[in-house]
Amino acid sequence: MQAELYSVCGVILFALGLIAFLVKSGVFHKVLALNVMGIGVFMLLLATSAFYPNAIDPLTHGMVLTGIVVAVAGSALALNLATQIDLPLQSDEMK
Amino acid sequence: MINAHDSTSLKNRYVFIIIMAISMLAGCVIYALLQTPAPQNIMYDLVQANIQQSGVTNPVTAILLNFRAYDTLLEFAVFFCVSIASLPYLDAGVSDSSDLETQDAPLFSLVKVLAPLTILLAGYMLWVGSFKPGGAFQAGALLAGCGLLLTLSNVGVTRMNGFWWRSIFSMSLIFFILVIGFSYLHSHTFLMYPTTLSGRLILFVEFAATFSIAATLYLCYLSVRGKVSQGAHRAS
Repeated sequence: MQAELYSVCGVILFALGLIAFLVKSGVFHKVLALNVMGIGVFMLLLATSAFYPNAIDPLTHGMVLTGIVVAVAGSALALNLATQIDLPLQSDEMK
Repeated sequence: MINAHDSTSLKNRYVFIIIMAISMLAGCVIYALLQTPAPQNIMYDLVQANIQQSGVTNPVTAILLNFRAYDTLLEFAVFFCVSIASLPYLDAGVSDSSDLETQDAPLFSLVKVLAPLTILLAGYMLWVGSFKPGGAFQAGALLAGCGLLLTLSNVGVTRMNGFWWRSIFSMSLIFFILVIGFSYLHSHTFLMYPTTLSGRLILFVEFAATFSIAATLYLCYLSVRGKVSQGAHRAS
């Protein structure tokens, strides 16, 4: 039951991130939305690893552990590249 | 010619369509997830059967640095590329420190306690990774957090362009390649450690990886700081 709850939350996070990615216009918001989408996917992956009552699937845990750190590095790179283009970084309503 | 009112209502209509479509997509995915029977996963049994050969007893560490070490090697290469790509942005365009960085006396005294504690905790995390949840990633993240805390409380930012910083960025990749070369000489198979030495080799790689990950994550923060607010000022 708990695993299903985590899966549903992961899908909802992914959907929220996708909505923000498509609706918001600022590059900064788009990078943040991509991060939220990624966290939704990580949650889904973690939820799928809970098959056994007292143990976890170590493969998905390793993948998520790798993925979190790469996601941080990737968003820093994206923000660095975003500051080099002449698009507004934040959405209009934030100014 | 569309006037302002029409364009807002058009935008609102697009937003409505996007939200409806994504809600339907999420609903379908949730329905599919709940309908799927739980797959019979054999990975856990495989890992448990072979954990004695890996040199560590924590299954996640065994996966990351022994059974699927190829992925981790490529991940270190990704980190190396990110540090190369972020280094040029370190000083470019940042006129002064970001708004978050303060010189509060309470924060400073808190940092004086927290920073050594975090370093100690990172060392513990690195050591505990061989038999409990923990390891290079957690330790690296803690160390990077320590650096971030120091920067935010204005303790001092080092210039990360020097030779020693660069060697720390590339340390994990170089050490991992050295270990792979050593084990290739020993076993003549790609990425297969000698069983008696694998625990020590894994600790060696994790030790290097901790510092590389910490330095790269800290570099990520330093290269981005102040730019987002600055970009907002420029855009407005």
